[in-house]
Amino acid sequence: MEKPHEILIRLRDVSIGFGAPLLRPLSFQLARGELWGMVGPNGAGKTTFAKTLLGLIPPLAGRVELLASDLRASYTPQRHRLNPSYPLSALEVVLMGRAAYLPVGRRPRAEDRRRAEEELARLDLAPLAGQPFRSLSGGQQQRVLLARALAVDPDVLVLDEPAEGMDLLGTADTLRFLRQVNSGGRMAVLMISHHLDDVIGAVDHLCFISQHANLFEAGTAQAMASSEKLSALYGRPIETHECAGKTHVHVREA
Amino acid sequence: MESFGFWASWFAWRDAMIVSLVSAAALAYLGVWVVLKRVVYVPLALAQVSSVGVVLSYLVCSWVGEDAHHIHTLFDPAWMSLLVALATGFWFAHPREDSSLAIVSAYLIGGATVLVLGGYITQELHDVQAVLFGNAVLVDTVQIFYVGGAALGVAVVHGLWHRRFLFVSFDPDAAGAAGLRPFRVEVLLYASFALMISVATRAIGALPAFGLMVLPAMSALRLARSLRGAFAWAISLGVLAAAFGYYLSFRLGFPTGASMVGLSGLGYLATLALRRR
Repeated sequence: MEKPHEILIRLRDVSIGFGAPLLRPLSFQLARGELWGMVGPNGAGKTTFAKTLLGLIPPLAGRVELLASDLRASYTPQRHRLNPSYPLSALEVVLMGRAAYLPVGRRPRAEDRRRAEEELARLDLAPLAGQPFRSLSGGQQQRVLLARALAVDPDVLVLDEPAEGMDLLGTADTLRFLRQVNSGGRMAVLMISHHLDDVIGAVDHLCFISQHANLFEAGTAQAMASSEKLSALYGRPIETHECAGKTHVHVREA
Repeated sequence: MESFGFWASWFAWRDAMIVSLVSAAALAYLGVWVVLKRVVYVPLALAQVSSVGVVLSYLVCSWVGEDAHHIHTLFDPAWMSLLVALATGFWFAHPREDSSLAIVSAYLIGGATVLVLGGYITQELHDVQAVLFGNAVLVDTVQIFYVGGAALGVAVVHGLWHRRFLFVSFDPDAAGAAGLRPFRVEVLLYASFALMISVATRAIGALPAFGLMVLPAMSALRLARSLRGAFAWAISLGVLAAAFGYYLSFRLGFPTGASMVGLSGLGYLATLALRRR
């Protein structure tokens, strides 16, 4: 039974990195229904953090606790990290996610296919289901990966640059879609992004990370989206202002 | 030689043809994975390190004073080469930013080891060469069982684990987040490469084993629009190259392995021309 605000994953004094810690030990928790954004400069450790959270990289110190039983996690990587030479259709890519939960040797059933098609349709990709994944545009590929992640009905969804390769409208639609799919509070979502303006407007909670500033800080989006905190994160004077109910961010000229 | 001579002497080439066709089908199928994973030098490195196992086997036998062909233990050349290839496959399966460094290291270290240790078994070196690099013309009947067994093993493992191999190869991080163990899945996949390469190298030779693994798969991936189609194309092209390569070598006196690889290469060049038009 899913409980609202149930803590799903907790990090206790965790050091992240490969061999040497990237920054001081950090603590963090992800609860059902929360929509988190994670921002930081290039090379800040965002992807390393996400992979540690999901158990893909062991922590150098501290504990990663999975607190829900039968926790289902989905991860969509940065699209450019995928090998584009696989001759797979969009539907086959989405079915991959479902197949991971089938016993060894079992083929996807009609139910798996139906869920995969359902997610493709929700992301306006139904007409492209049979198209080769590699022939799709960057934005369409990103949406196919999102469909794959959602098709397994995850408890935790981690998206690494979900708007990569998308135009203005595609980015806005994807962020709106993420808010919408999580409106029932079933999942915990962590979204890594460089689109600061968009993320701040889309998420409830924000997480800042910077290896260079040895900084990790998490809180509500409202509390985190301040000029002081953003300036500390990027090491440059950054200003925020409200316009039409949205927070906008820009770098102050020296 | 006339075609009559070819069909009349079927008993002479039957075993070799069966071994070549089964090897070609299994290698070409696995080749699709190797090309997609961008590790095309893995078969070459595995063939090289397999030879270390063979040399080690002869070395041990020369120390204990027994004939390696008659030892049915762990020190049999077939087992030794398979064990060394499997160990190397295990090493290749470790996640790395750049897998080519591990592959090149294995190839070079394997080659150097064979040369160094080969100096201690000079008397049996001719036998070792035959075991190491096989001969698609003269094949022992027992090789049918080795190659057939390995191909059957590959078919069973891939039949059961196909979807896991696919997910982990295409997107290891998402597969790991979904609860699969990417390293374990990769170990199994590389073990299937090691098994088939080790057995096929001894049966038909290093050059045809490498060529039949890589070239038909490269052609297939240019022709096919789906993964299933790529496997079907690769197996068909591999089998055709092995069959016609053997026939050409019989008729025209070409080296057998080179004929098979040459036809596979021509097939690849044809696909380059086809897709360009």
